[in-house]
Parts: sequence; C-alpha cells; structure tokens
Amino acid sequence: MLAFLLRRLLSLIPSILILLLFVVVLLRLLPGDVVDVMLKDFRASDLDRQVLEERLGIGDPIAVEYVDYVRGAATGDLGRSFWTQEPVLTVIFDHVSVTMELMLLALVFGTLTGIPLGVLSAVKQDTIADYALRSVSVLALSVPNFLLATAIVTLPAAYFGWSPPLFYTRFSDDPWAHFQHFLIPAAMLAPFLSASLMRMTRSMMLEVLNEDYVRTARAKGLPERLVVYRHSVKNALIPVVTLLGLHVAVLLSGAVVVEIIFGLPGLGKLLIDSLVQRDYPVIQGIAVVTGIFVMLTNLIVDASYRFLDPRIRLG
Amino acid sequence: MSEVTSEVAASGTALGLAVPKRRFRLASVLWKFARRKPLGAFSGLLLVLLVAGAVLSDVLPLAAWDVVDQSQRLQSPSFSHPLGTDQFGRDILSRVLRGARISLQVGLGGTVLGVSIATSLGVISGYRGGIVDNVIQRCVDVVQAIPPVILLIGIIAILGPSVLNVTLALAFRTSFESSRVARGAVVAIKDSPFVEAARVLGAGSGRIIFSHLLPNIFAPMIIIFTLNVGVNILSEAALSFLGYGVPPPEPSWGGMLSGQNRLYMISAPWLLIGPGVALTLTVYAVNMFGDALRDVLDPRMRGV
Amino acid sequence: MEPEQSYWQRFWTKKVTRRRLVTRSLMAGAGLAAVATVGCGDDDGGGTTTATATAGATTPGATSTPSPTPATGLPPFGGEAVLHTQFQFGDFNPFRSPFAPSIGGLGCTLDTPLEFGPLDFELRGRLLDSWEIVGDGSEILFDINPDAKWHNQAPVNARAVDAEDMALNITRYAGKVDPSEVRLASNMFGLDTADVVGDQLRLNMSTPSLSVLNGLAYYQMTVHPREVIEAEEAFTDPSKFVGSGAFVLDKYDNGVEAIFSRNPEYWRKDSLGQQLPYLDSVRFKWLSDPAAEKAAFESGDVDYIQMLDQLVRDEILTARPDTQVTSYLAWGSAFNFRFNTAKAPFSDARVRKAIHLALDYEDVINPILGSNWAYSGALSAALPEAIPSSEISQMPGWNPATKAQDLEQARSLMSDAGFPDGGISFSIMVITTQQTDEMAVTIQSLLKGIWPAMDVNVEVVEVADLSSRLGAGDFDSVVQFAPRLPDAALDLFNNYSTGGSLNWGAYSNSALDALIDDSLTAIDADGRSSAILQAEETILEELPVIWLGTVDLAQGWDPKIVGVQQLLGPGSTSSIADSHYHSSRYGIEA
Repeated sequence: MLAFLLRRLLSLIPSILILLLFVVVLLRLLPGDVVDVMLKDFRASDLDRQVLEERLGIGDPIAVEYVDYVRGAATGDLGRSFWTQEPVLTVIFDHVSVTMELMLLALVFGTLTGIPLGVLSAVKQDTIADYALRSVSVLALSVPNFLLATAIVTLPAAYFGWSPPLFYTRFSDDPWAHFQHFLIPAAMLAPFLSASLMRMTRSMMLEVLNEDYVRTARAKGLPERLVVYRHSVKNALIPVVTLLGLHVAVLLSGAVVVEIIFGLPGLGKLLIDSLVQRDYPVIQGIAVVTGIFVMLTNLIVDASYRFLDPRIRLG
Repeated sequence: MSEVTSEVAASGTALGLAVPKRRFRLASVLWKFARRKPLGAFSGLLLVLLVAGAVLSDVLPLAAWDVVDQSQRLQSPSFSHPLGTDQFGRDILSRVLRGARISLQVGLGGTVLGVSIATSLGVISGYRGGIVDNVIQRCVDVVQAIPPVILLIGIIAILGPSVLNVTLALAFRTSFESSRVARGAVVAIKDSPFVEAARVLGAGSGRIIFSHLLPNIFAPMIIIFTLNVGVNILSEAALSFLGYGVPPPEPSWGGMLSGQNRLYMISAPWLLIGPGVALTLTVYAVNMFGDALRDVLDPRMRGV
Repeated sequence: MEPEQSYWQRFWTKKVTRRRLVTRSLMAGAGLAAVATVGCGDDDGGGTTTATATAGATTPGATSTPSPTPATGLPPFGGEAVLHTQFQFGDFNPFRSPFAPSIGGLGCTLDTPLEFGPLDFELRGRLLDSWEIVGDGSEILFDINPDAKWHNQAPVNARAVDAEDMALNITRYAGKVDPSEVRLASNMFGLDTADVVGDQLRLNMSTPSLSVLNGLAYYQMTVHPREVIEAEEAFTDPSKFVGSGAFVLDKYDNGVEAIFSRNPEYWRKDSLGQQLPYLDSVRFKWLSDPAAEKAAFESGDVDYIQMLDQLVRDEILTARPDTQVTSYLAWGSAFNFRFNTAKAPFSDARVRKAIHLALDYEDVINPILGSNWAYSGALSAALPEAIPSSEISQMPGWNPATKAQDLEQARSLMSDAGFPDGGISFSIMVITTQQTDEMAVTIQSLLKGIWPAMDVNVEVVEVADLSSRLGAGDFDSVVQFAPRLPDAALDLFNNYSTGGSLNWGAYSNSALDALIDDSLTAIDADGRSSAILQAEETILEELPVIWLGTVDLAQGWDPKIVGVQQLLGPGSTSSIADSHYHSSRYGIEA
C-alpha cells in the first residue's frame, strides 16, 4: 500500500509537467493575447505592442517560456498576473478558499441527501416512492443552473424586494454574513451532486443486491436490513466514490455560473476573467494547482477501492 | 430475451421476410417495457417526440425561425404563435424545434463520440493493466485534471464557436471523464470467477472483451451515456451563458435561455418557458429512459 | 473664467424649478430630436416624481417648486451611497488603462484638469483654473486653481496641486515618457511638451489646436500627485492611490468592495460656499451579473443602476415604482456598424451606402434600447457641434417615412456596384457581452429579406480575438459598442482620418483628412465648426461607419439620492464614480 502511494505520488510529477505543457500550448493557440486586450481600444502600432510585450516579459518561443515557467514553479514561483502584477499564488489562494468553502458545503449537502436517497430508491425499486424520488432528483438535475440561479436572485427581488446575499463579505469582516452568502449557492450546487450520486448509488445497489454473495446472505436468513447495509452498500460505493472524485474536479471549476451570479470571487470566476483577459500566468497557475488537487483526489479514490473491495489489486 | 428479439429482427430485415412477425414481436416488447417501466416508456415517448420535432421542424407548417419582424415583437402565446414570439418577433415554437436539432447534435452526437472513445480507453486500460493502464490512466489524469472550463472554452475559442466545434469540445471532455468509470467497472469484474473461467477455458482477449467484459460494463456505460447526454446538453447551455455556446442566429436552447432573455423573466416569461421546458424535459427524459433501459438490459437482471 | 460659479449663481438666484431644469437639459441634450422627444416625455415623468419626492410633497405630479432654498444654506446632507460595477480591474496605471482609476471607484478621489458642465457641455475649469491661448496657438498657458490641494495623506500631506504635477501628468498621458502609455495620447493632439513657467502650466503645441482643451476635460484624464506617479506602487496596488478629489480612499479590496469617505478639506465649494461633497461616504461594490445587479437594486442593496435595456428598465420600474429615472444622451459610447473599407465588397462606397439605405434603424435598435436612443450621423448626437439627430432622422436611410424609395435606391446602388441580386458575402463580427450580437442578427435578417442572395454570417468572437483582428484588419464588418471622444474634431480624427486610432476599417480619404485637419487646427470657433460640419457631411456620403444610434442613457436611482438631475446631461460621464458626481448637490438628505 505504502509503495503504491509513493509510486503514484512520484508519477504526479511527470503528469503535472505534461498537463502544464498541454495548457501552455492551448493558451498560445488562443486567438489574441493579453497585449491585444490591453490595447483593445485603439489601433496600436507595432512599437506599442513591442514595448508592452517587453514589459510583460512575453513573446519568447513557447519552449523557452515553458522551461522558464517550470523552473520557476519548481521553486514555488508561479509568476505574476499580467494585469495586477500580484503573485499568482496569492491570487489563487485568495480565490480558492472561496471555491473550497462552496464545494465543501455543496458536498455535504449533496452527499447527505444523495446516498441515502439512492439506497432507499433501490430498496423500494419500482414503487411509487422510487419513481417520485428519482423523478424529483432527476428534474433537479435537468434545469440549467444559471436559469435557476437567475430565478432565485431576481424573482424574490421583483416580488418581495428581497434578494439573497449578493455582495461578498470577507470572513475577517463578518463571519456570519460570509457564511450566509454561501448557503444558497451551495444548496443550488448540491442537487447536481446528489441527483447523480443518488442515481449511481441506486443502480449499483440494484446490481449488488442481485449479486451471489448478497443472495447467499439472504439465503442464510440474515435480516434484510443487514443485507442492505453490510453487504450491499459497501460494494455499491465503488463507482460512487469514482463519481465523487469526478465531481470534486468538476465542482472545483464548474461552480463558475453560480459564482458569477451570486458574486462569489471564487476560482471559477477568476478562471473565466483570466481567460477573457488572457492572463496566462494566472490560468497556468490555476491549472497546476487544481491539477495537483484533482490528481491527489484520484489517488485517494483509487486507494479507497482497495479499502472498499479487497479483491482489487492495486496496480 | 431482448437479444433474441433483436437477432430475429435483424435477420428478418436482412431477408426481407417475416415482417408481420417482427412487427408483432416489437410491439409486444414495447408493451412489456411500458408495463414494467412506465416512467421509462414515458421518457422514451418524449424522446421520440423530440427527435420527430427536430427532424420535422423544416417540414411542419411553422413560422420561420430566423426572420426578424418587429410588428410581431414579444407577443405572448396565442393561436398563431403557440409559444409566443421573442423580442425580434421570431416564433419561439419554431425556434424551440430548431433548437431540438442542435441539442440532439450537441448532446447525442457529442456523447456518442465521447462515450465510444471512453469505453475503448477504459476497457483497454482496465483489461490490459500494467504499463498500458498506467500510461492511459496518467493521460486521463492529465486531461481530467485540467479544469473543464479551460478545456471547453479553450477548444471552442481556438476552433471558433459553431455547432460542430461545440460538439467536438464536449465529446473530448466526455471521453476523458467517462473512461475512468469504464475502467473502474472493468477492473471490478475482470477478476470475477466467470471471466477467470473463460480465460481458463482458453478464450482470447478479444473474446473476453467482447462477450464478457463489454456486456457486463454495459450497465454503467449506459448510465454514463445518459448522464452525459444530459450533462452535455446542460454544458452547451452553460457555455451559452458564458458566451461560448452555439452562435446566433442558430437557436440553441441554452442560447435562448441566456443572454438578455434571462433578465426578462418577469415581463416576458414565455421567452424562457418554451426552451426551458424543452431542455429540462429532454435531460429528464434521457436520464429516466437510461435508467429504465439499464434495468431491462442488464444481463444479470434478466428474469428477475 | 468661472463658468461654474456663474452657472450655480444663475441656478439658485433665478429659482429655476428642478423640473424645468431637467426638461431643459434633456431637450438640450436631445437636440429636440423627434425620437428623443418621445424619450423626454417619459423622462419628464421620472423627473417630476423626483421633484416631488425630494420636496417631500405627497401629491404626485405636483409642479411646485422644489425644496425651498434658504438663503442661509441648504438642508443638511449626509449618508452613504452604495454604488457598484461589473468591471474587473487589473491594470491600475491611469496612463495606460484609464478604466481602473476612472471607473473602478477611484474616480471619486481624483480630479481632472478641466471638465464639462454636465448640463450644458460647456468647458470649464477644475484643477486648471483658466487658460490663455498665446498668439497663433503654439502655446497655451494655464493657471492652476489656487485652492486645489491633495489629500492630507502621505506622501503629499495636503500640499497644493502645482504646475509641476500637471505637467508630469499631461506628459505621461501624451505618451511622451513610455510608448506603451498611448491610450489617451490622441486626446493630447498637437502637444509637443508640457512645462512649468513660473507657477503656470504651459503646453507647447507643435500643431495648434483647440481640441486639446476638450481632451483635458475627458473624465479619464485623472490627475495624480507626482510622488505617487514616480513611486509607481499605486499602479499595482490601488490602495496606494492619493488624489485631490471629494473622497478619500479608506479601503480598496479589488473585486470585492471599496470604501471612500468624505474628504473634509475638499478644495471645492458649491455656489453658496457650502463644503463639497454632500455625501459622508461612498461604498463601491462589485457584482458580476446583470441579473444580480437588477436584484440588488430592486431589493434596495444598491442605490444606482444603469438601465440600457428597455425591458429590464420596465421590470425595474414595476418592482420599484419609486425609482428616480434620469436619462441623457451619452457622448461616451455608441453602437456602430463598421466596414472594413480596405476589402471588397465594402471598399465600394455604393455597397456601404446601399446597406445603410436598406437598414431599418428602429428595427435594429428598438428591440434593445426601446426608444432610448437618438439618430446619429458621423458624430455622437450628444456633441454640440454634431449635426443634430433631428436633422439626421430626416435624411435618406435614417428616415423611416422614406424607406420605400430608399430601398429602391439601395437596390440600384447594389446593382451599380456589380451585385444586381445583392450577392455579396460577408461576416459581421461581434462579441457577446454587449447585445451587439442581437443587433447583428437583426441586420442579417433584414438584409437577407431584401437581398435573398446575400450571404451574411454573424461571427461571435472574444474580446482578445476582436481586438487582434480589428488591429490586423482581418474582418469584413463589425458591430460594436465603441468608445467615443468628447471632442468633435478628435472624434473625427480618430474614427475617420487615415491611420486614425479608432479607424479599424482602414478608411482613407485625402479630402476628408484635409477637412479633419482644418477642424483640429482651427483656432477660431467658427472656422472649427464649419470644418467639422463639412467633414461630417462628407462622411455621411461615404459611410465608412454606420452609427446605429447614440444611447439615451437611462439610469435608476434610489429616491433618497438627491441632486442627480443636476448632474446628468449631455456633458456627463457615464461613470458614477467620477468625482464630477460629487461636485454639486448630490447626496442623501439627512
């Protein structure tokens, strides 16, 4: 187990390097660069561009920039934002904490509702309760979340003169107001998670409930409750854990829409703004930081396979 | 049961014979499916209607979807415009039907492509194991670790926004995200007694993959497929919200729901109701139908 | 030269009612244009509501005089206004990216060299008190306002604003120090050097021009202490900004909130000698979504909202009927449809003109702005020197009444150009965030309705892509919400002269260049006006750019905010953070 973890941890390094190369190339292929955005309101001469490029330290061939970046990153220096000249790590840390809070809260909401409901739905397969639960959860998954967020933000304001908190408050200024701001956005993200968790849990439970060892357990005369909880849930959790791992990755940057509408200065919003403004150091920094995070999550997911199903050999 | 049916149906078609028999069988299968899975059947019906609407949108006697007519601006639903008109006087019903075509292209097309790649990657990786698995998984790790926003927007910005490019971007994302699930499912069963038995009996890799692994990972892949059809339709909508969706004047549902229209929720709700209901119902139907299909198709569920 | 004094004296002594004032300002701004008059009708209603609200009267529509102005002073003002923006700011170097200091809230801590009277668009002094054009215009001498002083903060500690500060700022803005700081360089047209003579500022002009004066009144030309400029820290850390403006920066948390408190020693007083500003503090918030902005205003979380979109405006007024509505023709930006005149088919003026004649301007703009816009020719309809929109609206192409014969002419022009069935093929480039995509789609549909063989494609691109392709001339046509300048000659120069900084379509016409040159270099007002008029007429024949309309900018205000009506007119900026807003009776009645 320890050797496995160590090997996988070491293999993160080439993975990150490849990821970075991929992102660097992708960014350089984008039409227009940061200089275009900075000079967007007038026809700039070649000299204007040249001066600005020198100032920002861009315009080198990709290979040179890549090597420089990796060299810097190795010493913990991810560069500075083209626009604010702030160190990228500071910028990211500032925004990642917001997204983390949002994500954790959504994970808590989603897992607390999704897994129990999935088990319930499987056990009560093809009953009214099953249909109702699935319909509702799938419906919640089917509405585009920007539409729902817009409704939540604008409808009460128009009819009752009340709106959910829209101004971000820093934790240091007012912890309670800070926390309140996250409640509705997190609850909005939760169904997305809980609905898919529930469906996955349900189908896996159904599969597992028909497995031989579960039948054996039943045949042995174990009470149904024990069969469900001891033998089935644990085995059904394998793909569920995979899904959870996937969602962490998706949520990390996928909360963009909710962050934008509810005015949360999170990583997703930073990413969109940086993309629009072609702030390459920030985008690369986000890719590296989230990349490491996602890969670590995957590693934990893989390791948990072993815990959940001892038959799986860790490669 | 269903395997037998499809074999018979296939041979019937091939020979051009036994048409009445086949029709009888198909109807009875559908009827059984509808009785066992009423929600699934209802969802299937919705999807058939959607496909019909998308296919027939050019044939049906509808107002033009792209002609601006200020005299018809922002009409609430009426007999001549069942879903009303938008701020350019364009008929929303025609636009929703036209949008169905785009959603099918983006949602189904992107997912079929993506899940096919994902299944191949996942099966190869999970079955072969060892260094192949390691290489593929590290690649998957890499692509999957890139925030989808960078990936999708990056690809679309480079290729330029169009229906095809949005579809390709979504397929790319789907393939890498789903391959882990395929691999997970393969890993979970490749050491099962029946696979080991087949191996002991001398079955080759191809045989094991096609007759033992693929049927057995069919269930999770169907779920992943249906989940992703929904996710991809919704992703297109989210991309539209961010300004990277299918470009105008093509009426993608996501596009009709985002932009300025979203702000008219109170004064002109019909702008959102048509595309909103169509999108939500489609994603709902795809998911429910997928669930039902899985229950019916799963080999080990047969006869339960 | 004290127009400000005299203006406010006139205001208070003649007891012009606020309502009449509003009406007058709007009429002046709209130039009595037929379309804009309709807009005025609406706005007058809004104005009436305001007048009654501020007077504390309960009878709606009462035409009574506003709150009586006691000879001894004004009602006590105070309180906090909550403003907001959607813009994200990165670069705080005012010389390179003026958006951050001027729109990012910091504007209320700063002043400009000169300014425009918001209601009359009259040029008047601010940090620079008065000016004298020496001889043939090769030198302009300015007195510095003797009252002007910096905030009482390190490193300037309330020292007076001096000619050296002004010279340094102007030199930087002219791009003479750093070639990348050219964003506003064209505002300093004809400037060679700026230096100090005694305690006066001297501009040495290589080309004499009156336009530089208007350029100095541009709201983005914020003046900064030389210590701050030289340290350059403020350019990356906005909390280091120190200014001379009505407010002092307390906190700048970029992207979250900025807090400004009243500068008790602000150097400006109103006409009655009352210390400005009236507000105690301004809280500046960031929101990133228009739906959130609307909700925040409707729920009373913010005190201001811009209501460009007609339907959104109606919804806001339904949700909050007490909203004060102001509206004025904004010179700052306008929608345009620009052709790449260096490429076929738009290198042919007949094709451009045919498209103009075929367009139905109301169809293109009304879905977005409702009736809140004015026809504009080659210049922003708000500029006093422009052909008024009332005249433009009677010209072929613009005039809805003559559409049938215009269409005939459009078809024949297109035939003359070699496209009898209109079979040209081009794309319209747009970005999604400005609603210009909606305009492009309408144009596409209209043109296809007239010439079915025409192949029009709408191409949605990102800002970076737009900018790079505009710069490279890699486009057929573009519909965009484009910046404009507060000076007619400068606007013409930048938009239409060969190599002009906003002339993306590479239009070039030597006769026009000569006319624009005349308008820029004329030192007498009459010569300037007639050159501008001739240039504008030439452009309307050639149409390298079709201006789709000047925005009649509707804004909503919380009823508690008093005095906005006196601040908003054609000379206004669209930036609520500008300290301009705090230069008169703008505040919350205590």
